[in-house]
Amino acid sequence: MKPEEIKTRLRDEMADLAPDRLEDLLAACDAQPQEHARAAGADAGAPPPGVEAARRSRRVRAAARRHLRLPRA
Amino acid sequence: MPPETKAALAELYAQAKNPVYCFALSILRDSFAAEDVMQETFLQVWKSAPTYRPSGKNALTWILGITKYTALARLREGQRAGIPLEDAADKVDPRDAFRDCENRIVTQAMLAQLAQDEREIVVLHVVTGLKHREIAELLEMPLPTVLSKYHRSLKKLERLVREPS
Repeated sequence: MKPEEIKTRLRDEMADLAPDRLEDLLAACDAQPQEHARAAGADAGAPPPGVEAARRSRRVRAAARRHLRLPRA
Repeated sequence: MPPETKAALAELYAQAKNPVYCFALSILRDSFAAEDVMQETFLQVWKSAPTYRPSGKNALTWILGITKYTALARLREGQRAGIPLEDAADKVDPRDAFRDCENRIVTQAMLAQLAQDEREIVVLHVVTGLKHREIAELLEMPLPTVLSKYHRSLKKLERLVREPS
């Protein structure tokens, strides 16, 4: 058997190996819809990573400037 | 779950369940454990979907990455039970590996005779259709290593099928 035949044979043999457990999966997903919706909502409203830290940093610098009466950099 | 979400998940499951299952089987050599890992992978995909960013990769590579970490966590559970990680998959009872593989001669030879990394590479390329470059990235291996292991594994399989011991 040549390598090409081995590949074809293996592909055919493993083509339908996985059992179908879609109903179990859907039931498991249904068991945690709130968690998923919360994650989706949080993701939609949240800024990309790093943006909040940069905002915080800008706020701290602005407060320091006001407190020390420094000119803008 | 809204019907359109359910339909999308069912479509994804239909397309990706076999690659996910076969990859998990190549790591674990246990069809029950591979089935659990397949379900756990899709549950994780469902949970992580809102934060998924394509970033140039195809979705199957992302899903198979989840499969890899879930399956390796399974192996680590075996490690905690006293089996070294690198040996855990090879300590599985061969009857578990072959439960669904009767009359699948090349599959049996692959599961019985190839090393874990060889099995993963062969399945990822031949069964899931990943390119060698994608496999190298997924398995965190240099591309030349993936290529040499792949060709060596095919030769080994060829010999095993020709001369079954």
